[in-house]
Amino acid sequence: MVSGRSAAHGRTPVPPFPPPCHVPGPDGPWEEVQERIERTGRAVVHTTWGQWLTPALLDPGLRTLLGRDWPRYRQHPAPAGRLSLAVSRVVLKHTAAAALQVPAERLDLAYLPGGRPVLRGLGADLQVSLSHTDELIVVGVSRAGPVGVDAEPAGRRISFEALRDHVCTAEEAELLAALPEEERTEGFLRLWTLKEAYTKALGHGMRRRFSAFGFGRDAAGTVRLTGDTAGEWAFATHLVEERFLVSEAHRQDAAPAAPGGARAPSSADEPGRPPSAEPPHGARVIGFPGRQSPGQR
Amino acid sequence: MALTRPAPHAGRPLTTPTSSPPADEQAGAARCAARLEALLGDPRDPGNPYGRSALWAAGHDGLPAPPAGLPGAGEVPAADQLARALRPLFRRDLALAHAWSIRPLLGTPVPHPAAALLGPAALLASAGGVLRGVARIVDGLSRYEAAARQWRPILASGFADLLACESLTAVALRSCSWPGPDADGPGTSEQGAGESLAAVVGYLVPELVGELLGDLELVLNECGFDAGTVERRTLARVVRDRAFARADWPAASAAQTRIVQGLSAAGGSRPDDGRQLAVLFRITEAASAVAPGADCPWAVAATLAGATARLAGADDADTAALARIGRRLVTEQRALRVACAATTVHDPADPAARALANRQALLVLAAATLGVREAAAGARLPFLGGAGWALLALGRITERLGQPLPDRTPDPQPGVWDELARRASDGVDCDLHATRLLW
Repeated sequence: MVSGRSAAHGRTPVPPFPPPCHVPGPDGPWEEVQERIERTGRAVVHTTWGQWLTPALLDPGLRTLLGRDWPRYRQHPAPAGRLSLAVSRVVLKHTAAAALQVPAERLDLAYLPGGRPVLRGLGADLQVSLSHTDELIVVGVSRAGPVGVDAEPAGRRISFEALRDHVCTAEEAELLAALPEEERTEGFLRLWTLKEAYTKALGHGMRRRFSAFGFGRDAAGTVRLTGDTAGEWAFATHLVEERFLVSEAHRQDAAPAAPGGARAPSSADEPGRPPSAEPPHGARVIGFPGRQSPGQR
Repeated sequence: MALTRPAPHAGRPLTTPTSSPPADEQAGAARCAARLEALLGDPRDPGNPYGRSALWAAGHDGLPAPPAGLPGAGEVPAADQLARALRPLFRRDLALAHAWSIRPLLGTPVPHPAAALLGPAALLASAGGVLRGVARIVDGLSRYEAAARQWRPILASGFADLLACESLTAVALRSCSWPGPDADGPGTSEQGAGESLAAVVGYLVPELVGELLGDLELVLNECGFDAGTVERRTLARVVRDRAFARADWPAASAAQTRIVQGLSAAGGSRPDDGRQLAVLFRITEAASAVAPGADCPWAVAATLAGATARLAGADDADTAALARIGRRLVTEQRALRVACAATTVHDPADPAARALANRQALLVLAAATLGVREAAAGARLPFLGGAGWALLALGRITERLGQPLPDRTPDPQPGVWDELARRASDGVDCDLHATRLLW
């Protein structure tokens, strides 16, 4: 288990993540998202596709908005999947547009050969991640480094016994196995979403074995990636609308020093800004594993 | 920095006088490269000051001085041959490449016309070195672990991307003119030549190589190589040192801005049969004087139609599929031309303009790939002249452009993997020339 890692790195301890912003429709409100982008370089938005469905489908610019996804939308075999595809892409584009403060139709959503969604031509200037489960849609956007989000219904029961070897490191499996069943089920689901978020941020998805990397807590109770000695990664899990677990993973990119001691000949010199210290409201930040604070463990 | 450090004892002595210009440009650059590789010595030798251990221990502040005999622009005047001659240095260490060659060429009173291209060229060389190492690992594991075979398509795809980027960079380098040591000074007659293509290289190569490096980290990790292993540390060093080669995202973004500023010109370009620019693609021949405007990315992109037309009627499946993908890309190019022409002045701050620049750059990449493949086929180069690698590369470009692949497209990955595995086991570089390596 990780302990005291932030202090050992000499980095500022990462304050808790604020809960995802709820945005009920294309018209916003987007101010909170924009403030978070200005403050921390990143934001996570959640909504339900039912809230966005009508304005999205009635938008005369839907075809333009969906761009290269339009044929997929039109040819999707299942009606629910078709609507979910359309609305999730519309939410993603509007969230990215709010972050950049540009009209959504100026953005072109593309996919890398591995399937990772990207905003064409924007590279590292704005990275995105998308997750949807049941009626929930979650979008992460970041101007400060890779971002990954994942959502699951909080009540979903994944068999720990069947999947522990595929999902957990030996240490994680041991910790979870020692918990009462209810807590173990919750902790296992939480771990799953964290690992999904992390591998999505890397752009690797399920190709990366979940059992090959692990999470723990540092002395402050913050979730840490085991072996992240540079303290580059930050994670959080939230309970959204009291029904969904939403995990986010974020890497803060930094520029190296140049040969000879000078800064590298790069414009990536903006110092890393800490994420918002704003306390969560309306959603709980959840640690892993179990529900205890690190002091209790 | 220890500028007076002696030449490495681990390296081999010079075999060719540094002052006599090579009679044959291609052979001369290859000889320069072989000599430099010998001078740099075995990278695994712990006693070699240019070896991995010494460079890692030295850090960026204590890099050794270059050995006597480091190829320079005076000795190897043609830009593409200069990059070829310096490739052993590029492969060895990005920070060293920056300190010894890229920075001096950028920092002369008038920067060398090829200077902006050497960073991406160095990134390609160093990424190719890591790719070979990972391919060797996967090839070895695959013999007794079936699960390791899942990584072959990923590495084959990365190899195809790399060769496409090498093609693009070679074309850009060949479009640069260099007046040579007897002229009035660096770049006096052809200053700025190749600059436009350099923008496409400077934008696209860091993007695509960045994805490749991410995949290599994934494969190494999944093959059990943790962050402390030599392989992972080598990879991490390339990732970290991209900024020194001006091949990171900020540099790519700046290059993209230059592409955006030229988008209106793209709207006016028309398909070209490529005959005027054919010399740019013939990498086995010396780059003679190029036609005016040959450095224009839109002119290079316009060769796509002619190259595709010449594939018509092919009777083998891979070449026929290449023709179908080519036609799809020509259609994409037509649509892009209309979109570019719709705006008089494109604003680099407009995400839509940046998306157009991305699409335009991918089409230039496709044209360079197809052009180099065609020229290599004409020169009867065994692998580079085949359709497989180009089919894989163009298929991925099509995918990046958001277009579906045409029906009946065969999977060229196994053949590309075989070539990569062969190069990895035989000590052959991942470059266009399939250069045999000394170490």
